[in-house]
Formats: sequence, structure tokens, C-alpha cells
Amino acid sequence: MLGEMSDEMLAELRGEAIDLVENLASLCAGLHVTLQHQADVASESVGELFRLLHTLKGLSQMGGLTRLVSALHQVEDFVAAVRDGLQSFGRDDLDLLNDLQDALEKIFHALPTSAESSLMVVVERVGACYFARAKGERLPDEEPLPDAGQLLSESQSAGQNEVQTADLSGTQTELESELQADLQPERPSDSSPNLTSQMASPVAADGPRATVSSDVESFSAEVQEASERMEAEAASRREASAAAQAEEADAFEATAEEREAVEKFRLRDETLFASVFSPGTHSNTTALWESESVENLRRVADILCLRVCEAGSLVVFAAELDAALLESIAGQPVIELPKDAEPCGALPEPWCAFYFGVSLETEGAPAVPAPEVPLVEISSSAEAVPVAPLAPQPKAHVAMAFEDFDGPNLGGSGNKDAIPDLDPEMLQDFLSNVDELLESLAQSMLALEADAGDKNAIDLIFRSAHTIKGTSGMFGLRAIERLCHVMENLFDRIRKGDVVVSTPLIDALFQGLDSVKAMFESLKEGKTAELPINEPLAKLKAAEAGVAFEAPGVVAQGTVMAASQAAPAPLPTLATPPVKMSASQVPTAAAPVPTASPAAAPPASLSATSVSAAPKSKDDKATPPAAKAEGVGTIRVDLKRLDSLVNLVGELVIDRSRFARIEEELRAHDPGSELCNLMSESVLLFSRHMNEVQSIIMKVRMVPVGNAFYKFTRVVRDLSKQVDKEIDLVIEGGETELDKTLVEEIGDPLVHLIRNSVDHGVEAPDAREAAGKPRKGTIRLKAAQDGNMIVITVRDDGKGLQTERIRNKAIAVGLIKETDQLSDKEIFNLIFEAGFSTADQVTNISGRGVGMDVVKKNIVKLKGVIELDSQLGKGTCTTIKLPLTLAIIPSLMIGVKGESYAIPLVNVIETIRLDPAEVQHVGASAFVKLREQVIPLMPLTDAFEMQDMDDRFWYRSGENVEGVTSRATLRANQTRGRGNRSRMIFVVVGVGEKRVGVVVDELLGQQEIVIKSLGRLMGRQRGVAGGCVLGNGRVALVLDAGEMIEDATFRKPLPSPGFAHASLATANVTAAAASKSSTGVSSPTAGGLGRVS
Amino acid sequence: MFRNVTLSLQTPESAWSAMESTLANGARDLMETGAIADAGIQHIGLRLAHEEFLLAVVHVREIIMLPTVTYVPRAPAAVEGILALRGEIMPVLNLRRLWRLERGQPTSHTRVIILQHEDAGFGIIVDEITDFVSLESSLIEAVPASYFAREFAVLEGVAKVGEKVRGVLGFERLLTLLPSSADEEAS
Repeated sequence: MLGEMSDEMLAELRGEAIDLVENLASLCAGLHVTLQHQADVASESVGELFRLLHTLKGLSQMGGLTRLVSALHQVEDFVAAVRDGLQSFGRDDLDLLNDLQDALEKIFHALPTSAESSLMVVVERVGACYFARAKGERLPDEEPLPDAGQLLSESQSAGQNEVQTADLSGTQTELESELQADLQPERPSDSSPNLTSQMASPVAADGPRATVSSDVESFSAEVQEASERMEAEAASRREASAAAQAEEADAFEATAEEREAVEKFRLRDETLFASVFSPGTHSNTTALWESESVENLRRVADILCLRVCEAGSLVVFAAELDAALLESIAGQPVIELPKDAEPCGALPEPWCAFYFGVSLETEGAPAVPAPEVPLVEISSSAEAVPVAPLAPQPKAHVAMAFEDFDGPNLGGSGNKDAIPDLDPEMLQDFLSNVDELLESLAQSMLALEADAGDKNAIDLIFRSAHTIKGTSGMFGLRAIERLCHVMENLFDRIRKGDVVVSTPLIDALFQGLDSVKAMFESLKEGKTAELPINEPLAKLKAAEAGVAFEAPGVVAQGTVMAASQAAPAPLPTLATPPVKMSASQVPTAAAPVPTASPAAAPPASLSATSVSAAPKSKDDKATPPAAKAEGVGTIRVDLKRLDSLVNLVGELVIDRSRFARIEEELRAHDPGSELCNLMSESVLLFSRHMNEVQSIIMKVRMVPVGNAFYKFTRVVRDLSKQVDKEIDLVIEGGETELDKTLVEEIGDPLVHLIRNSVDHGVEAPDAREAAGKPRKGTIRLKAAQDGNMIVITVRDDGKGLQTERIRNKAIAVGLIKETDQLSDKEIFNLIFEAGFSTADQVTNISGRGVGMDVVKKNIVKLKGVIELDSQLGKGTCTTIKLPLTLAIIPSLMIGVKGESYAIPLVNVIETIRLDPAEVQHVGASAFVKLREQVIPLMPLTDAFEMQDMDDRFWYRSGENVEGVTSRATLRANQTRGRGNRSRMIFVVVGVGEKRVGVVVDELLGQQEIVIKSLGRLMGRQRGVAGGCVLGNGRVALVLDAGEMIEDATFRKPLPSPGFAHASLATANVTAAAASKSSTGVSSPTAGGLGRVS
Repeated sequence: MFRNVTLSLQTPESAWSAMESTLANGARDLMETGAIADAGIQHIGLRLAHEEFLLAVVHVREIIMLPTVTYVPRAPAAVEGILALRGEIMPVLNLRRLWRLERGQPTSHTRVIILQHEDAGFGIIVDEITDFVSLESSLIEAVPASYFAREFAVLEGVAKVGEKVRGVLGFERLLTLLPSSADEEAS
């Protein structure tokens, strides 16, 4: 832990500790003086002493000096007792305190290097003495007393652990027996690594296993039979032992819970010990438990196992002390147990036969499954070990790896919901960095999956996991730390080549990553970061061992298959027999199975099933690192600040136009004056600078869409696995930039589209092959810039959309009529209707028919358009177009009835002044012939139903009305002057190919405006894209050309199928509005479209 | 002593939560005795034509002079239009129209009260800000049966202040007059 603190933190810690120790020194001096005059010490001093010790203990904890922590704790306890009046503080105690202070001073000064052990011994001695004092015993002189008082906290937590392990034994054994069932098919392959270890040299910490000989095959068959026999017996036995207490369990076999406990301690720093008592010392285990030796041992060690039988009594425990010390504590001989073999093997008869079923897997060594010793023993000696279960081995092997982290972490002292008490600023810092780390982790894992030999990826993963582990540990995020620790170890081994990258491994890693992500999310929401991680832990351990771990009940056929192949995976240079063996176990070739064939592939490389190592993905791999290289000179900016900045720039743009107006006026008034020239110059400069600021600011919020796109590779990978298809995701144009919020908002709709492609678009590999297509389907995700639009396409080479089915479904649902004629495009667009789905089966991926309309809504919300195109048998393509820049738009200002409106210049084709006589009327509509085109005319007043504006608009600004009318009259006069006829002004507005002429009262010039939303509470108004704030502080509505054109086109009640439902909806809304409104204000005239919200 | 220490080590959390719940209970007790509640809630008094109303101050963001309001076609009846407040565009309500009071002219006393709902603001046009009243919630009575539906729409009660009976505007109800809520209901 010490090594993972940042240097600054460590320096701070050291500084603080040194200060405290100095305070302690002066306190001791004070106490010395007091004790010279009186027998007792002042309570304030005691209180202060306690606080000092407490803080020092806390600092030591942060610094990871566990021995210090426990010793300080003992001293603290003693001082607390003094404070409470239970003990008195005398000269002897002061001496001890001085020694302590001295040692502490040296220790903390020495940081960050570890202190000399002699200093530690001193500290521990002091602690022990105080502990003894507390107990009322005489103070010994020099000799190191039971560092016994030892790890007070540890023994307590040990006590807790004991209790917890006991509690959990029930659930664990259930899990185990379920595991048992699930792992049945795997046993053959399980055994082969078993035997491999037998054949190969044990504990080869370097390099992959030796090759497996063909003996494996025959041997494994034998083993299988034996296993199956033992299996049944052991299963029943295990259930019995689980239910019973230690006393009733078999004398020579450890219960499951005992096994768990031993396994846990095997992996930790503590040493395993056993103490044997002569026969007859204890009548039963309770007596053993309560015996003085065991009671003493309990204070300093974790008791793992107790047994009493005619042959004597046995207690197995774990402690961090050495045997000599323990012997003096227990009052009798203590034997150290090996960790790398069956622990009790070293014990005298009869306990040497006591079986734990320990897996020899230590964290540094390669996956060496169950030891061979029991195998031999079983065949030879039958007396000492009545039923030595062989069967549990394959299963026990996995059970051994089953680490129960959640038990102690989430259970016990009720600190499951404790939110770590952290410095919020530091935590925020950390959290904002963590997302990047996790993302780069995910990317690297994908890269690794594609190319198992990718050294960079492995290194990056290792380092990222290490960093996250360190900082999480520092913040006390236990579960995250543990998970990262396991992952990091795993990667270290991969780095060294001990473990080979395989699909189950990657899966397990992804699951671990997901867990970590979930925990960080939870932490961000202010909840606890401790979530259950047993399953990912187990998966990781199992994957490390080359066995796929299935949580009970979740046995995906595919993964079981993969598991039986993954087992031979650690042996990259596979001879054919094992492959054949496992292949024969796999009758059906499911999609993930092709991993068997790459066994012959290039060394140590198992290609993933979904995201293949296509050159394209290598490019993708190249671009993120490139993007990261750019990121070297970056700074993190709070998004809110950025938003304010963008807003302010928008305001500045308005101010600029104000200046421009003033400048114009000035020039009109007083041309050529000095002031005028100065003003013109300033305005010019200001404008130029503003332009630059504007373009830079707009870019500031732009991020490459690729950031969002690369996440989808994972989505495709997971999904295609789920549906047993092979699909590649190809990303093009990831560097295209889009506003950050857009990129985020586009994520969900894209995921939906991709899911559709995976689920409904791309066919199963067999079907594809039959159709003459490559087995692997491709989904192409492309982003490109087109003018001021961003075009994003999702294209798959699947089976395409079937227009007939869509048509029929639409008729069935009532969207269109039998007789309606629709173009293909129109049919495709029916898919965007709510409740529409032609999928026969609703999978949990898609097909429920609630997707596409939501997607369309989201796109429309972003002011974009979405279209479908498809060719039967060839594929489907979805195109999304989004406006590039949302904010600053050059527009044409127009005036109607005294109100100003803005039309984005993008949509303005031209402005025309026309003699009203040239307008042609057809029925209720007006047209004008412009060059060769016929353009329908639409007065804005009609489109917006402004005829009742006078009724509905009370607070019209008087000044404005005057101002405008005067200008309007002015113009009218002008035009009248010309031809004595008032001319009609209209603006030709266009979107795509469509045109409409909007009749207005006047043209008010061009202006750059900042389109803003009308406010969340205002909702969406038809025909209005938003509002803009003008130079005079007024709001002008910005017209949405597209909607206006649609409205204009469909004002004639044509039986257009696409809008049949729209008019229906309109009617409903109008009716609803009418019934809701109780004001009696005149309802919209029937002629118009009414309010379509 | 050993045992005692053990126990205290094991229950820091429970000790803390015990303390917390005592505090919470204590606070609740305090509230129930009304020691704090008696102070009353601040309301702003406003006038629409000849009618006077009250509105809880807690929702009020600011009060401004009547700016130029922009007409929004096809907006709901109560909406007069939109205005811009330091760059933020928001809707503004015309309650006089809602209450079928006679159309008046804006005067020098006319104000717009800007209310805040979460992240969005909206305004209501009033003819005058009359006073500030501290009103205990117990004094707010139900809207009399003689009132019209339109009045029910915005009032959450009436209160007698001095001699006059004034309607108490309900913030939530005001929200329903805005288009966004209509959107939500229709969809």
C-alpha cells in the first residue's frame, strides 16, 4: 500500500506524523514532570495522549504500516483504560511511552523507506507490554513478550472472519454443489491439466506448460471413471459435512468451510500452523475450543480448524508470528504447515492424513490444479483416509479458486453501506480521471482480443489496472481494489507469458471491468462503492486456470463449449489428441466453437469470435492511440464553464451586431466625421476578432464522433455472441467532429440501430453461407461531413428490409389502407411509426416495436433527419443527418404584423417583390410562377394563424409597433412611389427540392443570430426552430423551414398515407386542447393544420 | 477490559446511527411542537386588474419591468409570448386573460414575476406588486365553491389578509398552463 501512494501524499503523511510525534515528545516531557510531583497524571493529558495516538494510528493505517497500527491500537486501548479510570499511569508506563515515541520518530523520519525491523520490534514490544498491563499481568523486563498482545485488531477481525466464514459455509456449499453439476461436462478436460502437472515438472514459474503426451487421453478416461464414482460419494458426504458442526464432520477431512478458510489464508501473508494434542486431552471440540491453549491462540491467530478424535486433538490456525512465539502462547508445540502442499502432510500420525484438498495454485505460479499427492494416496492407503475424495478435485479446484470477498466485505460490521469518508475534491478528481482510464482499458482489452500478442495492449492494461487499484485502495474502495488487484496480477502473468489470452479470459476481464465501472457509477451517485464481486473474481480465477466458471444456473451452451476448449488453451502448441478429445465432446459446432481451429494458428493467439483482427480494426486501434497522443497538451475543463463561455460568445455576437447598427446610423447621420471613422475602424476590428473567437469557440465543444463509436465495438461483440452470429463492426470517419452534447445524444439511437442490424439485419452464418455471402457479416458505421450537416450511416450487409412484410404489417396495424400506393421509401419510413415491428420474435434485444419511433424522435430533437434505405438480400442502410453547428446562424430577418422573425439563410433561396396581380389562385391556394417553377405562396400570418393575434397579444410593445409601422409605411410609400401599386414581398424558402414562398410584410436585413431553445417549459412549436435574442433585447422566433414547407404542402387535405395518422393525431390534440381549455378563447380556425404539438 | 474494547470496536457504525436517529427524532419533535412552523411562509402580493393574489416567494426568481414580449403563434391561451432574460428565453403568462379580466394597458407599475422551475424559468405579467405577506399555511382555506373552473386552475386556496380575501396562486398549477405540460399529457 505504501508503494501506491503518490509521493506528495506520502510526504504529507510523513510531515503530519512527524509533527504528531514531536507533540508526543513534549507530552511525554510534561507527563514526566507531573509524575515527579504526584502519582497520577492529569486527565487532560491523558485525553490528549489518546488523541495523539489515535491520529498516529490513523496515519499509519493510511500509510499501510499495519504492524504500527496494531501496536498503536494496543497502546491506545491502554490509554483509554487510564482515561476511564480503570488503570493508572505510572512511571513504568511513561518509560514505555518514551521508548515508543523514540521508535516512532525514527520510523516516520525514515519514510518512505521501511523502518528497520528492530524499531518495529520495539514498537510491538511496547504494545505488548501495554496489552499485558491491561490484563493486569506483571511487566516483563526485556524479552519480547508475546508479541502476543499482538495484532489485537487482527485477532478481532479474525474472530469476525471466523464467524462469517461459518455463516457463509451454508451458501458456499450450495454453490459448490451447483458448481459441481455445471462442471460435469468439463471434467475430462479438467483432468488433463491435472495430469499435465503430473507429467510436467511442478511449479514451472516460467514459460508455458510442457507438451501433453498422448497418454493423457487414456489416462483421462480412467480418471473420468474414477471421478464419477468418487463424485457421487463425495457429493453426499459434502452435504453431510456442511450441515454438521466441526465435531460431527469426518475427522480426517476438512469441511468445505474449513477448506475455504485455509485457502483464504494460504493466499495471504499469514503462516499456517497446527498444534497437536495427545489423545484424551480434550473430550470434544468444544473442550478443545475452550482449552487454555486454544483460547490464547485465539487472541493472536485465526483458528481455522479443530478436531478431536481418539488419536488426539488438532487445531489448525493462521498467524503472522513465528512458531516459537506461538508455542509459548499455546503452551505447547506448534508446527508450521507448508502452503504449497497438502498442509497437514507434515504433521505426525495420524494427522498427516488430514485432508484439505488444497489447490496448489499460488498467485505467482502458473495454474497448477489439484496436487498429485492425494491421487497417489487414494490408490495406496485406504485406512487412514477412509474415503479420500478424488472427485472433489476438479470441482474443488474451482472451489479453491472461489474466493469469498463479499462475505467479509459486504457483511459483518454493517459497513456495507458505508460511503467512504473521502476528501470530495480529491475524489472528484479521481472520478473524472477514472472514466478515461476505464475507457482505455476497454479499448486495450478489445485490441488484445483481436491480437493476443499485442504487447502494448497488455502493458497498458496492466498499468491502468495498477493505477486504478492503487488509488482505489487509497480511498478505501475495497471491492474495486480487490478486483483490480486480481486483474492486475492476471495481466502480470500474461505479460510474463504464464497465462495465454483466451476468450473466456477476455470475457472474465470484461466482466470484471463492468463490475468496476458499476462500482464507480455507484460512487458517483453518492452511494457505496462496495458491490458484490465474488462472481467476477471467481470468473477471473477460473479463466486464469483455464477453466470457464459458470455461476450456478447460467450455463450458456456456447460458453461451456468454449470452456472445454479453453482448458487446452494454456497449451499453445497443442498436439492434436487433446483437440480431438475436446472436439469429440462437442457434438454441435456452435458459432463460438471455431476457436478450436485456431489452435493451429500462430502461437499464443486465439482470435476472438466477434470483433475480428481485420486490418480495419487495427486501424481503429491505431487511431485511438493517435488521438491520445494529441491529448498530451490538454486540460480538463468543467463542462458547465464551457457552456457559459459558449453562451457568452453568443451574446457577444449580438453585441457585435449592435455596434454594427450604431455604426451604420452614425454613418448615415454624419458621414466622414472623425468620430465616424474611428467608430468604423473599431467596429471592423471588433468584428474580425469576434469572428475568430466565434469559430474557435464553436470548435471547442467539438469532439470526434469516433469516441462514441469505438464503444460500439464492444456492443457488437457482446450482442453477436448472444445471438450466435459473426459480425464485424467497421468504423469509418471517426475523426469527424461533432458538438459534444450531440455526440452523447447520438449514442443511444445508434446503439438501437446497431442492435437492429445485429438482431434482424445480419443473418446467421449458415444462412449467409447458403446465400453466397461471407459467413461474417459487416456493419459499417460511418460519419462524414456534408456541407453544414454531419451524415452518419449505419449500413449492414444483411438480408435487407422486406417491403411486402412491412406493408402488410402496416395494413394490419391500420396505418395504411390496402389501396394505398406507396413508394419503397415511404414504406421504409413506416417503420418509424410507434408500435411498428415486423419481427416475428421479440428478443430481448429488439423487436418489441418501441425502438424506431423513439430513435426518430431523438434525431428530430437534435434537429436532424433520419432515413432508411434497403435492398432485399443485400442489406439495409440508415442515414442520419444532423446540423453541424447549432448555435450561430446567419439569417434573414423579416417582419410580419410588427413582429420580427428570422429565417436561417441556409434555407433562403431568394427574396422577391412582386406585383400582387401576378399571383395566381387555385381554389384557396395562391401560386406564383417563378422562372420555370411554380411556387405555392403562404402568408406567414396564415401559417401561424396570426389573425387572432390582436386578441391574444395584449402586451405588445407600443414602441415597437410604432417603429415598425413607420418603417413599413416608409417602404410602402417608396414602392408606391414607383408604380403606385403596393408590392407583395415574399421569401422563397427551400429545403431540399421543395420550395415555398413565405409572404411577409417587410424585409429587415441579414443578421447573425444565435438560435436558442424557447425554454423547456415552452415546448416545441410547430414551424418554429427556436428563438434568438436580438440586439435590442427582444426575442425573434426562428422559423423552421422544413416544417413550414411540410405544412404548406399539406394544407390541402390530400389523402396522403404518410400523414393519415398525422391528421388523426392533429384532431386528437385539438380536441384534447379544446376540452382542456376553459377560457373560451377562439379555437384555431378549421382551415389550418391546427396545433400539432 | 478486553471484552469492552472488543465491543466498542465492533459497533462504531451502530453507535453513529443511533446518534443520528436521536438527532433526527429530536428535530422532528421540535417541528411538531411548532416552534419553527409558527413563523409563516413569505408570500408576495400581486394585483391583476382589481383582484389581488398571493404567491409563495420561494418560487420567485426575480421581478422585472415589462420587457418586449414576442408573440408565439399557436401557443396555449394563457401564454402571452416569450421574453429574453439575460439571454435566456422563456415563456410569459397572461393571467388577466385567463381570468377573463378586462384587457388593460401596461402601466408603469406593470411587472413580470419570473418564477423558476428546476432549470427553466417562466414569467407572469402582473399589474402591480402590492406587498409582502407572511402567511401561515394553516390560514389558507380551500377555494370556495362559488369560484369558476378557470380560477380553480391556478389557485390552491384563498386567504384572508386583513379585510380582503386573496387568492393564493399555486406554483404547480401555474406550470400546467405552460405548453410543456400539454406536450407531456398529449404524448
